Amino acid sequence: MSTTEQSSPASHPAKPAMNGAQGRMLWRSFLDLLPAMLAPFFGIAAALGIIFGILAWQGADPQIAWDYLYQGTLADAAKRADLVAYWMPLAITSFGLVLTYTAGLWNIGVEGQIVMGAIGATWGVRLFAEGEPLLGLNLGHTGILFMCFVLAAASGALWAALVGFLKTRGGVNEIFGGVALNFIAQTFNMYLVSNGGPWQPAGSRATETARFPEIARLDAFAEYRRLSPATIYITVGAMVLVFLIMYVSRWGLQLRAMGKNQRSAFLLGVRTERNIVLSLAICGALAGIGGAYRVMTPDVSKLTATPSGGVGFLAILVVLLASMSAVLVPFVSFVFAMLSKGGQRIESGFQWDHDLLLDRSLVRVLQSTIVLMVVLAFGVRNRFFPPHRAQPDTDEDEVART
Amino acid sequence: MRVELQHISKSFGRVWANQDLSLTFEGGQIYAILGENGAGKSTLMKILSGFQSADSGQIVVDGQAVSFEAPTDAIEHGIGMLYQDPLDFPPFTVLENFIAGRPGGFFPDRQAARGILLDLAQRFGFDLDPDAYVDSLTIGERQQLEIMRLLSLNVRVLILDEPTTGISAEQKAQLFDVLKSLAHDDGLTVILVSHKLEDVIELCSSAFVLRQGRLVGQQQIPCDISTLVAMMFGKIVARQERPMSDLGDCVLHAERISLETRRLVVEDVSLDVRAGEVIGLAGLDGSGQNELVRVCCGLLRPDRGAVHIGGREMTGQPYHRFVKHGVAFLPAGRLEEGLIGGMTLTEHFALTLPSRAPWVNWIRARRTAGERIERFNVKGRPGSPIQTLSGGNQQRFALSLLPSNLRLLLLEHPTRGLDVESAMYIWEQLLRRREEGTAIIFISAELDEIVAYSDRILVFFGGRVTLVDDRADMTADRLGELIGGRM
Repeated sequence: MSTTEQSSPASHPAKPAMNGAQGRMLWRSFLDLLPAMLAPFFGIAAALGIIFGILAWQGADPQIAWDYLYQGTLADAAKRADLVAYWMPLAITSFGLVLTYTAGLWNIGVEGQIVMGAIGATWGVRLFAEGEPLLGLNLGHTGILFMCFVLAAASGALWAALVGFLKTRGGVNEIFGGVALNFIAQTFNMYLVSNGGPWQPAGSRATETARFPEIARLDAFAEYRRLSPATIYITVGAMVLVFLIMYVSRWGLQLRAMGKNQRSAFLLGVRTERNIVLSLAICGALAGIGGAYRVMTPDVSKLTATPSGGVGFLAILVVLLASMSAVLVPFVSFVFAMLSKGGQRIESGFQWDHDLLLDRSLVRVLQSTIVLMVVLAFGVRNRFFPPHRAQPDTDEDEVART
Repeated sequence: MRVELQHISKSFGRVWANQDLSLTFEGGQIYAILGENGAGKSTLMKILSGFQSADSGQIVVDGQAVSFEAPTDAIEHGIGMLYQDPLDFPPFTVLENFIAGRPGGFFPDRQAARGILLDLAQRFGFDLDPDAYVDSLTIGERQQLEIMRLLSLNVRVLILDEPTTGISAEQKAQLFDVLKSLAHDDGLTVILVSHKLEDVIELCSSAFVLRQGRLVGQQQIPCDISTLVAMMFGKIVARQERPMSDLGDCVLHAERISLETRRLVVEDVSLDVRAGEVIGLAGLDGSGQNELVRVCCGLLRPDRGAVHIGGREMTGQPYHRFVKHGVAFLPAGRLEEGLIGGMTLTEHFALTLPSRAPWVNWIRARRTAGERIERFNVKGRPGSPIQTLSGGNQQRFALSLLPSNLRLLLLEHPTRGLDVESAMYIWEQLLRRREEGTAIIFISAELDEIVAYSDRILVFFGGRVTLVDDRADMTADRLGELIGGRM
């Protein structure tokens, strides 16, 4: 999916005479992008339709499910703030994945990179805020939080770079390397916080660390205690960074070239091995920060047994459904966040609402149905509205000029 | 089998690739489809082989109208096509490729398939190891495999798209014998899509000539080459003679290069090339030319020996270091490893133009694309995706991407698959670079191209090399003997 043409300065006509042709090209690339933009919404509508159909068939009022979904996500300002807090780790991880997927790298290991980020952030807390600080450094509140994020990013980046080195030096496909490293990261995390692990508080039986000391907690908004302004700034910064890389930088163009044909890109002078490691490392750093959000969110402030909660895999779906377009990622990830969050509400709602004799696991069908429907929407698009630029082997220009 | 194409039309966007074409192919004959790049030959053959469907018109096989949804439908009706770049699975073995696409249920009978494969290979004198991996085969051998695969599927009409490009003279002679035998003994219809008029004259009994999507006419063969050229272009083109020029300093010094691949041992190849010199590498496909070229640009590391570029020792350095020292490599597979399908011409320049800035200067990339398109006579627009260009235009474009002031330019089959005019144009550009002091090393399967443009010639045979630097020895006959291993 080519999405950069319209945002690149190249589209500004160099000569006024080119205006007509360029306008048509812009319009064509917009038409190409349109189905990509609409497909997720079509998928969501279709999935909701199916769920409501099932509810109606079971004799339940579909309106109730909708009400729960709405109540759980958008009903009031506090809910919306919660939703944003839930959305940010997903969004920042998805931004990272845009880079690797554009370069043709299936960074399945992102889940482990989030876990490593969470561990890194917790490590920062332990080094600088608990007991005797490292080297006797008294960093203060801001300094400690900064170091936590740096360590989270570094841990995630290292974990991802390992996938890259395994691929470039060891010939291990990034999918296999990623899956293995996911497993190791999760096991390592469990070791730290369970069964008398080094980070589990003495005497505790909960598989988590103690709550972080006050000095190492993120500041939340006064009225929304789960949302921290710092995370918003970092997420927006990451978004700007990925936008710059994808739409302005030469490096982003190199990644795109690698994604389309790595061999040709290499022969045309792109340092493919270096770019593989680098794009993975940046993605890992962003995923690591996502992991830091997960443990440092003001109402959590501890490392749990499952710090990622599947955000990494969800982010992979987001990026695939957004066709690797950085522009679409915020929207698609937001919709996914809403469904995840709202799904939880529907689930608990069904549990307590005794008028509804429904198995609450039914709700989990919702997310998978959406993915399926969106993929189907793309299929339908490709079948009936084939994108113009994906037309191979035409001799159009050839014949046009003769 | 009699195949009729009736009033076939196909357009891409607002452009007609085929316009109301009606052709008839009889059994037992060998036909040629001729035309310049972009004349609509490939489109027509893709329609006949079920790869694309026509907008209007119909295909009639033995009096019965048929419609093809996919190449398998065409094969079921006995029509099979051999593509210019063979459509096979390189990570599989010869036998596995042969089995793929054969009917035979969930558990293919490997022994039976092996028997059929070996029988066919024996009949045609092909020397293929069923257990060899396809990525270790030459284009010529992959072609042989594909022909046998199609024949084993009972194909009665065999379409070949540029079959003689990229294969050796010996393989070509063998291929032609096979095709003649298939047509005359087995009554198959053979359709040859080609730019090479000598091949057409040698092999075919009749030629259809297309120009700009329309049928110009049908010509019975034998006839003069000039008749066909006139039909194709409306004018006669001749090969140009290159001007003499002075040679400069030594740019490449390759000393006793030895390396071993799975198929081949290249031993003790030494070569000195001076600025402005043109070296042609001749030999059967897979005799070691490609290995030498790849050693000279850092893509292969020699087991022994040394490579110096411009007096600097470069052995074992990575490719990008060679590029930095003014070496460029243009591989044979254009869309496989030369250009990036899905990216536009402007994006290619944005990617390759040297720049220290971290951002893309789109205005400069677009301007450069416009200029080079003009200068290299590429038929395409800056915003055209590269895969929409025809082969000749892709090659001209690939050439236009190369930086100026090169020390050494390495090319694999620079004019493969191009018509005479495009080939001449490519050489005009190459010779201009030579005037600027670039040394050129090129691989070609066409002896007259090698004879016409080389200052010296290296002939490869089974990994060993004979240097021909005497103009008197530079004849197609003498080179043919060396290529065949006769010293």
